[in-house]
Amino acid sequence: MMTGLGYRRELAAWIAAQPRGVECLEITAEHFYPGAGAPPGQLARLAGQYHLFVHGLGLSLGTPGPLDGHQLDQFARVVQAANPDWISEHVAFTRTAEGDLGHLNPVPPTREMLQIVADHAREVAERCGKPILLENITSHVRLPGELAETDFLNELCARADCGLLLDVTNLFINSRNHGFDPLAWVWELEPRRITQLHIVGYSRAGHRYTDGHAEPIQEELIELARAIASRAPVQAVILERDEDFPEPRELEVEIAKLSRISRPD
Amino acid sequence: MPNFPASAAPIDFTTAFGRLLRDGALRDALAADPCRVVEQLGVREQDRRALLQLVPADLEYQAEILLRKRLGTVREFIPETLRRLAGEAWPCFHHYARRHWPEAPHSGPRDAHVFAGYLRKTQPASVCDREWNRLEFFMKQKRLAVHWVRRRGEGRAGWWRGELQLLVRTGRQAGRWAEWFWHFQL
Repeated sequence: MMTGLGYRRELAAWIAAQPRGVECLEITAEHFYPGAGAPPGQLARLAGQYHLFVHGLGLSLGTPGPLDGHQLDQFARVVQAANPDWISEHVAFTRTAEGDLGHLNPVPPTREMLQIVADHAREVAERCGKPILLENITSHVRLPGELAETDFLNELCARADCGLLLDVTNLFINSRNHGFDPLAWVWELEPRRITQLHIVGYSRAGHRYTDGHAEPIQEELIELARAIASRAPVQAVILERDEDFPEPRELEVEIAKLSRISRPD
Repeated sequence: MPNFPASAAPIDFTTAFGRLLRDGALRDALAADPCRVVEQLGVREQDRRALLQLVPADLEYQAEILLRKRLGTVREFIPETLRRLAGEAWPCFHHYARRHWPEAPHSGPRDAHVFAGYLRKTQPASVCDREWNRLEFFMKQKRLAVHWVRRRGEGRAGWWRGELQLLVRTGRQAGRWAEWFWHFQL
């Protein structure tokens, strides 16, 4: 299992030094779109140093109707430049026919939505010529539907012929906010689909758990990730820190925690 | 009914959910009388049950996540203004943003521009003139703008710093422009 982190501009100097334990990088496609401020040639440099994965935030696979062609073109250009092992997007919608919402929102686990997300995922994978993984998100609302969430994900992976990017932190947060057992939830998934993990410390605001992407990884998340990795063929785990970036020494400690996920006691 | 009129054609769950996430007044209305709001939105029959089962507090929190993302984007355009607001930044933005949703294109600077305009009416001392001039220049697609900006100097009471702010568009695209300052001690 490879260990790595999400590439962020603030960490560029540290990453360029190829720190110990960082074997792969996940780049966010939107950070490399024209006008986003990435230096020319940076993707090629990173691809020369690391295994890359390309992660999308804004393709909005859960929006009924066609994908945004302009967004898809830009995403495909980043994929072409990065030549990643695989690409990923969220089981979510970020826009509707009436406008952009700016962030990930949950889709209802219905058969109609299953077809929408599966068709869109297949289209993105075919357009990019790369395997696609789909990621679970945090949601503060629980949407009812014809299917259990895990049945929805299993069926989605089968229809889209794709893998799962299981965000351990998002799963943990949802389990705490909505009162369910995260491991029981995972055991309902088909283990062979779980290809990649995301992890970062959760935050708390009052009684709510949130994904601020700004905290060190807590021990219970490592334990949850280890349990998942013991039953699934996970190929990579990515530290997904977006805010309050720590000093290099602390980052190295965080990366070292990831190596414990695949190592038995 | 808040910002959305009744739809001519039935709308799906995603469209209705999106409207609720964007419009605080609509969320308030749903919490008060869910059946009436779902009826007036013109939601498809098969999607009504899911909307009626939304827990108002959870929906509000999900919407708040989107507002905090917006504030993060707005901060890139008016960092000094938000620094001056300090602990009032989030309550002020929340009050404004629950009622206004920026339209594309340039939804980030548009949001910052409208929010700064709102602050100029409600908390004028908090608005950084440099940032306001920059947003006016960008959103009104000017080619050239010159501003005299007076700023209270640090240290001795009664001292002011003056500066000339020059903004020039350097290309056809909206994002291509340059900015210069000349400082004066008064």
